[in-house]
Formats: sequence, C-alpha cells, structure tokens
Amino acid sequence: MLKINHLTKTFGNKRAVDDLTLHITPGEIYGFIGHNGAGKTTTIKSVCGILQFDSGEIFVDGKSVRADPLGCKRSLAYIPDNPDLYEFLSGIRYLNFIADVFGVPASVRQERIHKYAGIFDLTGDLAQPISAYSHGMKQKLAIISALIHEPRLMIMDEPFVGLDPVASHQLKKIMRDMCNAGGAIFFSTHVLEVAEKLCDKVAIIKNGKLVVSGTMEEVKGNSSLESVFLELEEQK
Amino acid sequence: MTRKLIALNIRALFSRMFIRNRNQKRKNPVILVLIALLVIYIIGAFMGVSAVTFFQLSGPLFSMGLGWFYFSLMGIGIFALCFVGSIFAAQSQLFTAKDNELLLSLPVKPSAILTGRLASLLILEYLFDAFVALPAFIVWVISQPVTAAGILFFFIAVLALPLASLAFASFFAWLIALLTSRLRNKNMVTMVLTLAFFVAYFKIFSNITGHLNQLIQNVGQLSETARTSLFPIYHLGIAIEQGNLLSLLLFLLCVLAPFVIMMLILSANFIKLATTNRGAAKVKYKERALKVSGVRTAFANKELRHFWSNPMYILNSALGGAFMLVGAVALVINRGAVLDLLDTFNKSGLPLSAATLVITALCVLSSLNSASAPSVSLEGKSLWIAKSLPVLPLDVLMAKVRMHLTVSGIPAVVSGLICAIALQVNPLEFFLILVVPALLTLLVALFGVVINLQFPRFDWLNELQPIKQGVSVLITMFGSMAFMAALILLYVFVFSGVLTIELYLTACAALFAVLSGVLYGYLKNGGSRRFEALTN
Repeated sequence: MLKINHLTKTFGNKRAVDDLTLHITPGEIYGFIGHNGAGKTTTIKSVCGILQFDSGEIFVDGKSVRADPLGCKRSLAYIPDNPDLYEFLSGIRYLNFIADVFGVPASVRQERIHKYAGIFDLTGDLAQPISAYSHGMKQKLAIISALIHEPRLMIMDEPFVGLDPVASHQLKKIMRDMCNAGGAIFFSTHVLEVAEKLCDKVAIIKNGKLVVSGTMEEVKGNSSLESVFLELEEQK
Repeated sequence: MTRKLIALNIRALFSRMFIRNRNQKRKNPVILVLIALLVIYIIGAFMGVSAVTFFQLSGPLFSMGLGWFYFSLMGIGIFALCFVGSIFAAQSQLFTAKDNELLLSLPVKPSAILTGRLASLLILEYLFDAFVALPAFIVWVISQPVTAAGILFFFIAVLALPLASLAFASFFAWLIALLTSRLRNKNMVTMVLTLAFFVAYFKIFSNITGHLNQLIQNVGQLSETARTSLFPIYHLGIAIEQGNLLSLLLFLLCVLAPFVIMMLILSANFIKLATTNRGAAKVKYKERALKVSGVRTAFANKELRHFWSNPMYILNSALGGAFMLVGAVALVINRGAVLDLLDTFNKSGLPLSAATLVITALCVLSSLNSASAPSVSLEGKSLWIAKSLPVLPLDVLMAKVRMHLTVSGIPAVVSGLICAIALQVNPLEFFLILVVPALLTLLVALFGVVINLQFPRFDWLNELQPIKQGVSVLITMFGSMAFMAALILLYVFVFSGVLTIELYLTACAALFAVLSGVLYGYLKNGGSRRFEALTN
C-alpha cells in the first residue's frame, strides 16, 4: 500500500530524513515513532505530496508520488499534527468542499457526514464557523474530512492530540475497521502505550535515520515499547 | 520588561512585510528599495497635501489676527488623524490581542502589558501626528515670525495631543470590541466604519479647495465657535501663537485628563477586558441536501467565501469594483452633466469621447483591485490542504484568478454595460467598453497571483498582514496603476497623433490578452512548480 524507498530530504545543511525505507502492506496499522525533530513529519509530508523530497521514491497503492501525485492523493487521506483548516468556512461547508474535491456522490457524502459527525459528536456544531471550534473539534473535523472519501491509505501525524477519550476510542475503532477492510494506516505518535496496543508494525526513527522497524513483537520483544524507545534514544 | 513588550508590540504593529520561511531568511534588497520608495511617496503625498493646505490657510488667518486658529485647525487635524488611524490598532492591541492570555500567564505585571500596548499605540499616533504637525510647523516658521516660547510650546502641544486622541480611540475601540463580541462576522462593524471614513474622506478631499475657501470666508464665525465650544483647541492656538503659558497648562490639563482617566479605567479592568470571551451566538446545524460541485468550482467557491468572510479583505482589495458600480449609477443620474463636460473638453481642443472616459475610468478602478494578490499568502497554515488534495496546482491558482474576476470583473462588465447604454455609444465603442476593462481585470488577476507566488508569506498571525502589508499587494496595486498611467501617457504624448483612440484601445486590449496569455502560461508551468515547492 505504501512503499518508501531510500527517502532523503534536506533543509539547508540538515538531513531531516536520511535514506529511509519503509513498506506498509494492506491491513496494517503502522506506527512511526521518534523524538521531536526526528523526521517523522517530514516523512509524512513527503508521502502526502506536501513536501518535495531530494531523492528516493514513494509509492502509494502502486503509484509513484513523483510521477502520479494526483493518483496517489486520491488514494490517501492526511491528517496533520495541527488541524489548521479553513477557518472562514463552517464545518459542513468544509466537509462538502473536501467531498467535492474527491468527487464523492451527494447521497454518499450526506450519509458519511451523518455517520462520522454522529460518531465524533460534532453534528450539532457543523453549522458553526471553524474559527469558533476548539482544537479538539477541529481535529475531529479533520478526521471526518479524511474519512469522507473512504481512503485506502490514511496518513496521520499525532492524530490523538486534542481528542477527548471517547473520540480517541472511536478513532482507534475506525482505524482497526479500516485496516480489517483492506486499508492501511501510517501514523506518528508520541503516545507509546497507544502505539503498543494499536499497531501491527512499528518503526523508530532517530535523527532522520530508521533505527528499527518490524512487527510489534519483533521490535519490543519481551519488554515494553517505551523501554525499547528509551534505550535506542540513549544510544549515540 | 515593559521595554521588551513595547518592542514586541511595535513589531506586531509594523509586522514583517517579507518572506520568512525555513528556506529564505534574508530580506530582498530590491524589495526593500521598492518599499522605501513607496513609503517616501506616501509620506511625501500626505505631507504635501498638509503643507499646501496650511500654506493656503496661513496667509489669511495670520493677516486677520487669527493666528491661533491656524494652530487650532492643526490640532483638530492631528486629533482626527490620530483617532481614525489608531482606533482599529487600539482594538486589536488592547481588547482582541491573541497573546493577552499568554502574557498574563507569564510573570509579567498586567500594568507592564498595558503600558507596553499603549506605548506602541502612542508611537503609531506620533507617526500620524507628524503628518500634520511637521508641515504646519514648516509653513508657520517660513511664513510668519516665530518666538522661542512659541516653538517650545508647539512641540509640547503636538507631543501631548496624541495622548487625548489615544484615550478617545481606546474608548471607541472598547465600544467596537463590545459591539462585535457577539457578532458572527466580527469585522462587519469595522467595515461599516471604514466605509464611512472613506465616504467622509472622499467627500472632503474631492472639494478640498472649496472647503478651504469656505473655511476662510467663514473664519470669523468658525473661530468664535472654536473659542467658545472647543475650549482646549482654542487654548492650544493661544499657547503657541502668543507663547501663553497659562493657555498651555490649560490645554495640557485638557488632554492629560482623559488620558489619565483612561489609564485608571484600563488598569483596573485590563485583566477582565483582556480575557473576556463572550463568543458568537451558536448556529444550530440542520441537515439538508448538500450542493455538489466540481473541483475547480469548489476551489473557486472556497476563495470567494474567504473573500466575503473578511470585510477588510473586501475593503482593501475590491473597493475599485464598488466605485465602478457607484460611478456607473452616478453617470446615469448625471448623464447630461457628463455630456456637457465632454463637450467642453472637445471645444477646448481636448477630444475625449464618452467611451474613452468610461474605459479609462473602469481600467483605472480595475487596476486598484488586488484581490488575487494576497490570495496565495492567505492559504497560511492551511496550505497543507490544497497541497495534499488531488488537485492540480494550476486549478488552485486559477481559483484565485476566478475569485478576482468575480469581485472585480463582474462590476467592470456590469458598469460598462450601464455606461454604454446610458451614453448610447456606437457598436465598436460598446465592444471596447466591455472588453478592454475586462481584459485588464484578467491581467491584474493573473499578475496578482504570479507576484504572490514570488513573495508569499505564511507567517502571519492576522489576515490583515498579507492583505494590507504584503509586498505582493503593494507590487500588484502600484504596478497595475503605473502600467495604466504609462498607457495613458503613451497615448497622450506619443500615439495621439498617430492612432485613433479606438485603434489604440484595441491595441491595448490585444496587449492585455497577450500578457494574460503569458502569465497564464507561467502559472501552468513555472508557477505550478513554484506552488508545489511552497512550504509554510
């Protein structure tokens, strides 16, 4: 579903991502872990076509991000670490805008908005301008907008930040359901307990380089993910 | 700490006009020079108008023994300009500043925060003050005998006067903040007030000479009114003209009293005022059928909604469109007078057809509109949306062009139609009235997007920053106006004897079309690549 091959991205003299290779197959929830500034967001933004990268290749559902960016973007949905949405639109207009861009038929978009806004308890606020939303409400709206075209691949950067416990639980459930239906999820998080419980596979990145990756069992063995992560962070 | 806060607030008021992203940190020297020239031009124009006005007033007033009234008028001018110029800044700095809560959470005294904000506002007021006071001073010193006491009192007075205007501006800013706190569209009041200011400004300056003559003719009565009703302003004049210490003290008492009262009220209530968030009335969502659009229309509608959501965006970027429609209606009402004026021009050897007048007016007004110029910058932190969605960069950019065409092109065509019908022009002129301004609007729309791609800024905290202070807006607006001026001058001085006006206008239309094609070609290739490479 997502193949990142030898991805390298530099900002000036700094190598934000250095020769990163990751493969995510359908049905997998793939956690992406690293310290602040490790290169997680840069990797994620490169996958979504937001950032141009220096070398390497990224394939989404078999399509190259460089050669067929639009084809890739049609297959995926992205939720950023900070839900900076169009504040001048109301929630419903924003969702309708996203549905327009993905060409979701009228009845289908109506049904999905009804379903997901209900799940995230946002229905009553959809007529409000986004500028009046709290951080958590914006995050919920970003999640609903990501689900509106039922993507095959969902890329999320710290998706649980700002969500209340109920919404957080619902998101985890949706993530699992999506992967059970053949989709895939690649997400970054600092909440290692969530990653440990939720992810099928995990990758740890440090200073732009992949340190370890594999199934949760392969990576953590008999200890906790937190212990493994801290141990790796201490190594120079 | 107070000094640091003052510096921070000044930085916010005159915030950065240049690109600041991780790839480009240095200011472009060419842009710095352009901005410097523009600032010199604006200051020169403002001070020039002030100087001419004071020059016309000084002779009659001093010869009639009403020299004090000269300074009183200066005082009124300073007060009005400072008040109007700082009222919205006072609102955003004192009552709606986004960093109030952050600052209050830090170990900083609320009084230091308030002092920092007021000091930066005062510096802004002194800038406006200088626009009036300096020309008045120069004209006074050159044209009249002056005394050392007069000069000293002059400077004390002009330094003290903004304290009073700041007090009143702060009070009105508080009223505006209170009025708009529960409005869904908080900027509506701002727009109405700004429009009222514009109307008053144009009403006064469209006949400044007439007003000055009227003022001079009725100077006796007006000075008497000022003496009896505008007590502080009268004493300001007396203090400077006669070097009267008592009048100066009375004047200072009058300007310091409202400032001190304002300081006491704000000091006592600052935390409450700064943290009050009443929130807008909630709108309940009712499920109904959603309108389906294509990708391009969705983006164009998004741009339009953005445009209409911000009255300051409308006022700053599309006032020309409103003037076109108002002008067209005025022309219908005053058709006879316009035709008489054209007849006078023709008789005086200055051939000017009605169609030429309409086309020139529409083109000049169209060149004032810069709606597309800040549109890339306005993506701001939500740039990721357009970049992560399956849409061509060209479609994103052309949506901005479509928005500009809607808010500026439609008024141009509608106004052109009204004028063409009202003036009963011939078919060729009819065609030119519709096509020339429309093509120029397209060119300006494309130019705005192209320029904004070169000078984007995504680090703004308030949308007004890219709309009012963005380099791309300045370049687009002044570039378009200079282009228009060049075309007019080119005809007057070079082509008027060679080409008929119809032929020249047709050539202009062709030029606009070709240039538009070139800019569109750029957006399709280099511009799209540049958009793809943008990061915030």
